[in-house]
Amino acid sequence: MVINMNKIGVLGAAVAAMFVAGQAQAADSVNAGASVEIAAPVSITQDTALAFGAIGPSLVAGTVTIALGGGQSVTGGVSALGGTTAAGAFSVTGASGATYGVTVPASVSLTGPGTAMIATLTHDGGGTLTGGTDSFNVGGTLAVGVSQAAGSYTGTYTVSVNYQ
Amino acid sequence: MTRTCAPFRHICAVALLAAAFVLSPSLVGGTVGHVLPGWGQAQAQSVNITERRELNFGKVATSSTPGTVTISPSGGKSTTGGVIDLGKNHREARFRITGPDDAIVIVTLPTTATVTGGGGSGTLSNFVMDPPNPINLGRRGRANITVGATLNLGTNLPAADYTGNFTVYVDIQ
Repeated sequence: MVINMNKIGVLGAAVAAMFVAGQAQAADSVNAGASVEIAAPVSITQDTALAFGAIGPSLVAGTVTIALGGGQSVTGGVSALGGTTAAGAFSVTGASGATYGVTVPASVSLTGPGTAMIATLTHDGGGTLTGGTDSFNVGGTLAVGVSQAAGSYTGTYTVSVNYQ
Repeated sequence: MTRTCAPFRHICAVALLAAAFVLSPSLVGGTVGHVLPGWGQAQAQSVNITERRELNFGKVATSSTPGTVTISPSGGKSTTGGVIDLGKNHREARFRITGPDDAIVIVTLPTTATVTGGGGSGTLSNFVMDPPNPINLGRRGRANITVGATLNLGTNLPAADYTGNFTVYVDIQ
């Protein structure tokens, strides 16, 4: 009677031990790593404002153009009278080696004492941010009306950049 | 006399056997052994998972619009929203599972995790793996799995290396 009880006790212990050991080894886990490199956002600043200079209107309409390189030229009845001329100049900064694109409006309205004038815009922006920087220019062609009223005409346009 | 000794023998037998089976996992080190008859059942249930390569989302830029970057289990990279892919070293995670020959295991991926850096953070979700569950360890008792996920990023996050962790579980079915 006593011997029989001992056998039962030993069997029960063995089954319990196997169960515990098997459970401990039937599962595993690993703590894994995840990473991402967030690049600096792309940004833009204006270094030089687009300036068409001083011009003289006439009884004939005409244009004054500022090339991307900054050179001024006139057509029609418009005369170039000196003053400050410059292509718009912009600097772009961001992630080194990243490519970016530029959005420039097709035209901008210049307002002043007389009838507003429209300047169509061009640019040579976009490309690779070598060393994390790049620069580009904005030029334009301003349509000058007949006997355009004298005075200072100004306007603003928005240039945006984005990674591509 | 016989009656008083019997309980002691009972307790001693239990203690010895329990000690033997609890200690056996550390002795065999997770391998499938053939050490002693009677130990095989515990050792046959051994399973192990190790990280072979971490999950890397590569280089991205954020903008004024939130978005996501996803790495697929095959290593493909895609972005949505305002997140811009700038390439560079993105990789899917790789894990190795070892266990008994021909065992069927179930891998459990997290539902979410976080990466932080530079004062910013991003949240991982939609973990996926290849092959899918259940996974057969085959004749060699091992299998490799690849894991991808989606990283959700907010707007204009500070530039930095962001890192984090996630836990992957494996169970024998």
